Amino acid sequence: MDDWKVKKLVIDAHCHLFTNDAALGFVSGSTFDEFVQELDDCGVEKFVLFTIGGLFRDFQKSNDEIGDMYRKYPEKIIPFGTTNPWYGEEALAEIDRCVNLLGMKGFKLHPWMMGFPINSVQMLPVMERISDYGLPVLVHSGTAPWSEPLQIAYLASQFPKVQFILAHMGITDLWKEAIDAACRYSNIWLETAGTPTVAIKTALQEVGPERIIFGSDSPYGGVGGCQFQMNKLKYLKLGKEAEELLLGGNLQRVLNL
Amino acid sequence: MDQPVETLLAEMDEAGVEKAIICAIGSHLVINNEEGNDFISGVVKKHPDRFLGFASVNPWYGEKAVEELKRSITGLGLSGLKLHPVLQGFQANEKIVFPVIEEAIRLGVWIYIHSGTPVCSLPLQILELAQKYPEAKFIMGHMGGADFFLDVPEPCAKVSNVYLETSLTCHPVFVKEAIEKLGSERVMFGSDSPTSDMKTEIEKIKVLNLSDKELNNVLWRNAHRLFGL
Ligand SMILES: [Zn+2]
Repeated sequence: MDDWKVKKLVIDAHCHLFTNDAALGFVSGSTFDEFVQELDDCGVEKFVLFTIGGLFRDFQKSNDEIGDMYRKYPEKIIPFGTTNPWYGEEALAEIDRCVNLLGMKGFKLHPWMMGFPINSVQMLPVMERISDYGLPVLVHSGTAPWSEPLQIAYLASQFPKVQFILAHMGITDLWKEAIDAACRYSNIWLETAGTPTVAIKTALQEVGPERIIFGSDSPYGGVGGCQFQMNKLKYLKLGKEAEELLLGGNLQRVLNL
Repeated sequence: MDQPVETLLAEMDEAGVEKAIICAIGSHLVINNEEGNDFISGVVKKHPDRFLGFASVNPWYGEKAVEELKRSITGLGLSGLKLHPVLQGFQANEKIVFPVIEEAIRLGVWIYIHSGTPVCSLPLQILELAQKYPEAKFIMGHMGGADFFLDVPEPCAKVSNVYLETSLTCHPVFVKEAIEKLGSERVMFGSDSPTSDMKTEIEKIKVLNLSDKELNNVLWRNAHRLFGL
């Protein structure tokens, strides 16, 4: 807890690697170089990077792409892997490979994009394996019917050793539910990309600044996306201590950096 | 969520927002529509240089809702209709809302509908309503919100009676793509204050590096043209 105060790192908890075949015309986003430059301009020193393509298709290949980027920018990137629970043994083997071979520091799961309910039984062995490694998961939250905060929280209650980061903290529709989830379970963390101001204000009061984490979802936001997500927090005038927690201090605790 | 008028005015001043369209929330939006519309109209009359008001009627009240809309526009001086299918409990394109839409057409007012929340307030449901009533004029609030953005720019570009409002859509690039598909004449800045805040929502538009013409259209000219703001 004291360590981060010395380092005062600014970390972005939520970035995707867009590859040519994998943005799928979903949004135009910005290129890797563009968003790394923008993160730099915003004072972000490290960022959690995971796939976008692997949420739709071959997750092994996508994890390799993250591994490649990590080798290229080991100081900047905190690599997260992904795995698809539908693949059973293969999904578990991929967790092993991500951790032992690629050096992943956590996992990203996106239930509705990847096509599985977060509350399905297939998730249990996956979570057991991730729990064995003591790594955190970042789960997309806020979308019915498979990515609702209380569904994720229920899973979190079954795996108390795993730190669950609710990406988008329920986004526009389910942020109240995300806050309830964080109040109930101490292994739930709230990440701020795309969530409205009032959600963050309420979470500051009800959960406290110790479990809220800045993320930008770059490069989804396109040019200016990170700046927008960061200024959303800065406009709240959090005060120095809370701001440092949100912008990197909390994530350092989750990641044991 | 309470938002005193003074707080809203102070926020507008700080963010450089000169005028705002306001509408009711909470029980005023859902059940006590008369009380809500009286309240909104009172605020508008007190600050006519800062506010326009949109009326709230819950379509489930049937004929009463139609009458209340008429009273709000012709009697109270409100300027449009706000619908919130999720909070008011109906599917955006189901029959229950038709009489209210037809009245809005007769009155010639714009209809603002919340969008982006499953299961009953989704962009394609609103588009369906807009196709059924091509003479009605719609503003799709939040342009699909977080997860339904794919259903917005292209489908909406195929009709001419749907405009988009930018609050709460979670990424700047969504606004940019909407402008590319629909033209900046059909995209309007909104903040959803106090859910989001004006400075943050303006930031979302500013980081896009739009041309002056596009920026002016989105930030004020469209609203000026549509509502005489
Ligand atoms: Zn994301």
